[in-house]
Amino acid sequence: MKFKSKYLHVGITVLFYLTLLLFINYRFGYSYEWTSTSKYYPVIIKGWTQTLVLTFVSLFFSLIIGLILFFMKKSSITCLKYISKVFNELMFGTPLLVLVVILYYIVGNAFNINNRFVSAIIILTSYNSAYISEIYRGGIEGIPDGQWKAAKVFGFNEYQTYRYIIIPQVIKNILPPLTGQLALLVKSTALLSYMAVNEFFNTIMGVNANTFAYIEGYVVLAVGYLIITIPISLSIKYMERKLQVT
Amino acid sequence: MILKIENLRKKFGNQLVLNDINIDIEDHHIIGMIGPSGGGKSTLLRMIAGFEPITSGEISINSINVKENEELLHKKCGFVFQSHNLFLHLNILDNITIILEKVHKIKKKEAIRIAKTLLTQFGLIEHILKKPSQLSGGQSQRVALVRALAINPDVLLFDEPTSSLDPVLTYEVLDAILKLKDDKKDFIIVTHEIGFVKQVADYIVFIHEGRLVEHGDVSIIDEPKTEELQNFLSKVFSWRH
Repeated sequence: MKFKSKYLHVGITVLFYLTLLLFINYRFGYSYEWTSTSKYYPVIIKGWTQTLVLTFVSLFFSLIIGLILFFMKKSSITCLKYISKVFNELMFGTPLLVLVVILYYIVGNAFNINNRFVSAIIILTSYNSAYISEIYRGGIEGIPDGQWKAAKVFGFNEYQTYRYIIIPQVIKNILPPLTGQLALLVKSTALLSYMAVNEFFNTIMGVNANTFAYIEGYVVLAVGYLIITIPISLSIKYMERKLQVT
Repeated sequence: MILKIENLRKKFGNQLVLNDINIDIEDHHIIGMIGPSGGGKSTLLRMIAGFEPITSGEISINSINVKENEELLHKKCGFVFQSHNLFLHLNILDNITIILEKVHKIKKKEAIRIAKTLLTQFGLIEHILKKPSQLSGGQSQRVALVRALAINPDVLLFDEPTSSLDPVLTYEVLDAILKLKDDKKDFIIVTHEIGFVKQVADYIVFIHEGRLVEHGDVSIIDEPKTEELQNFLSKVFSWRH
């Protein structure tokens, strides 16, 4: 029963897609033709892997840069504080697509950054680190004041306070918003197709152009992204349960 | 216990919350701090514990200067907060052992032994693996008391330990504090439980509107000299008539 309730939503999501496929078949009389799309599976897997790598490399750097931005914002040095604030405002106010165009075609060209993969990492990291710095802020500010006081009154030094008292609770606090951000990050890689990065979305568009099996291509896309997002969501839920505080 | 406070002042912004406090207490074991809410007694206790900055003046407890020797102070004074402030991510056992291991550098095995002995003594041993959120208010406060006791402090400081509890849980916690008197522990307690203070304390400090208005042995509760303490006690006891 417990197993069912934990994974039920995953099952319903898959069922939703299957129903949609059946509906298309029933309503429009569309008969699926998988052979042409399946011929391209090595390219598709390569694109899918590229999306996975882009996501996790960007996430890794975003977690670091986000933390730096958070500490800059908290800093007593006005200059650092404002750099962080302005950076966040720029990232919050700019659609990712616009950022892709500006950073790749204008800034990238100006500084001779020709490697698309590197540019893509820089763009995704910049965009996500602003959001992640806010997630850190929420996580740290959400720690009750009494936890800091108790750590101080019992003689923990600053390092010990963060290491043993604050960070374990912050991790628990930031996991739910981080799940959402990570899912957004996975899907936002699709916009990198505008700078011709061969990630999953761009690859499928290429395959579709050859096979003309558009619906099949989109089905592969939907399933491919689900294969990434469902394990992320389940593993973070698992970590949340392990770290459960209240 | 020896408590010396000289010319102590505390400001929050422009607001003066404690003004010119001077106390010299020696050879007393249990000090009860009483007074109306917002009078500054909890602030004073937090300053004695070293986690509320002192605006001006000096505090020393058992010859430890609060401003100059913070590290030693935290090792020698245990503190029980108004709301337990247990570490929410740790179970009850770890809440106690983490302080012994990381701050007092006691080996894990010995830390567990100390924690288990005290938890048994206070009737909490069956909750050892629970998280604070799984305990009642009274149980949490008793764990907070055990946590403060585990460091074997010279003095324990209680900041209104029962103010957030219902009468039954209040009794549970006061009963646990009463045990400390039998164990000859020194402590300072800020509380509104005047009857309890009268029973356990051997010295009373009355703080009103940021000033130390009256202090002395426990008889001042029965024979208050100042008008402020008379008014305070008459209000506290008025419901009984």
